[in-house]
Amino acid sequence: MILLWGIWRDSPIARVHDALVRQGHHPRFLDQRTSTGASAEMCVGRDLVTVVRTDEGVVDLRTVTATYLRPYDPGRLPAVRRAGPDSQTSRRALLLEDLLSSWAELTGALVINKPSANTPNASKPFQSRQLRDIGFCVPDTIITTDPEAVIKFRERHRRIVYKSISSIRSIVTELTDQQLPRLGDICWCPTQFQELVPGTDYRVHVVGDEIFASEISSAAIDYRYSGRQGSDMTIRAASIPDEIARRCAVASRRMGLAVSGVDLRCTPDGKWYCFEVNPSPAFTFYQDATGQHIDEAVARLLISGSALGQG
Amino acid sequence: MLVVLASRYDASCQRFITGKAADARLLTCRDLSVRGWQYDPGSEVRTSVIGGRLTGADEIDGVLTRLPSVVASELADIVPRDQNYAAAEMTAFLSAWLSDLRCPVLNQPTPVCLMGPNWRKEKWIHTAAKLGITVVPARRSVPAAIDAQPHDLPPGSATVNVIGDLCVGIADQSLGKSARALAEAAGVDLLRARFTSPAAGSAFLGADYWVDINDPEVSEAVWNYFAGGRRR
Repeated sequence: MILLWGIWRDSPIARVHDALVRQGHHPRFLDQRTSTGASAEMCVGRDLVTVVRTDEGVVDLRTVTATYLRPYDPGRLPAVRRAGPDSQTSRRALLLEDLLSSWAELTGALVINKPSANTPNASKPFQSRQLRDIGFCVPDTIITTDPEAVIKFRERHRRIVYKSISSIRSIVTELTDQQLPRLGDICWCPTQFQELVPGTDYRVHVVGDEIFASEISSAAIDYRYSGRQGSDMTIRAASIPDEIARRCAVASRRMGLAVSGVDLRCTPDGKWYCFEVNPSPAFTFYQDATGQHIDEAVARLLISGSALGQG
Repeated sequence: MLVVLASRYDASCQRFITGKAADARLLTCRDLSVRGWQYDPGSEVRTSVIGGRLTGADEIDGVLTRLPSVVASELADIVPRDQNYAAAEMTAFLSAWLSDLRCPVLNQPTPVCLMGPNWRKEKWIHTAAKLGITVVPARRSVPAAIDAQPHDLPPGSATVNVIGDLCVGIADQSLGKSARALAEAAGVDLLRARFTSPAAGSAFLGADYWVDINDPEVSEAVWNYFAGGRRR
């Protein structure tokens, strides 16, 4: 059995569901929004026995051969928001999410992706070191509470950006003269600055052994927010050098990710920088622009149940 | 100098370093809100602020981590609306900084847990069982069972502390061997393993990284670990 865990309105999970159906499979979908009343038991020794009961029936997770997980923060589920953070509903949703995460960590089924494989992404400089070891260029970086160090760093690189260190999403922003009077605020918390790397952005989705590259044209520093930054953006399917594709696959595999979204930038002189490997990519944004059938590839991977060294 | 990364509210860490001949200082989240930190992941140029003093990386001989992650309640000096963000940023920063030090670090951090791999109880039990160690199965349910007391230890249980190659605790040697095997499986040098009794063949209950550093025997073993100067 193939298990999907998330919410229906999440486009990647809905598309993978439909792709599985097109390929003749009928996955079991555990919808977080309707599972706030679910019950579950787990017993772990040498064997792993986990059973989930919902209004739609009983699921014995020993029968799962592959699973695609995109759970939302339980605190954002409508039923939990209505009931409040200290409610039984909230506690139950958190417990269920934690139990399923624990199961996903231990099961021998193919998991896209194991919760522990998401952890390097929680610290960008931690992940950058792994990326450098694989052969990617990574931007020159300083993390500091010292405004003078930032001034020197900016003098060295002329143009620099700042961004979050953790996986909390931030808009990558250039440090301009207008922001210098506020630079003293960094004394309160170490802040990450990087050289601004010029070039063209690429998003590479790695799905098992399959590679889908897309090229993003945008004048914005952070193309994800190009509209907000008053810039147009176009995305098209692209080809990338074999060596770069290989590095993307290696990065994904070393991080234990069966599916990933790798953010790259190619400079005018042909250097490939890697900024981040996203363990839970919202690939439909790129699929809709490029026509690449990433959902079908994820479905094929789930059907194959090939473990990619997991389990 | 030995650095102990600790909660600003953790008195046991202050006791651990007080009165010792060796130089030791506490690093708390308060130090992360002081001008002077500079970490360039690609170079050897780095300075830190430890116990309020500017410190070079070459002055640090070892780090003992007693803080799993930075939480908002540690950041009383930061405005409340920024505390959660700052806590996540500080945790992410510390994981990178600690993992890049060349001195011994107990334990090596991960991005989500500064004290070592963030294993749930079920993972410890499953790993132990696969290593051939007798275990008490871990059970949990949703909703939680009314009588569930996951943190209570049964009467007569035993604790084995792994510190490097040493095992500290009153228990049969075979339990020490099991505890070391678990530490190796997790890739850590510091571990506290619990068993149903000190006798040979007793069952594994669970593990974590909270060794009692105020226990004289444990404290001595930790100090000796760093005095051994294990380099990565």
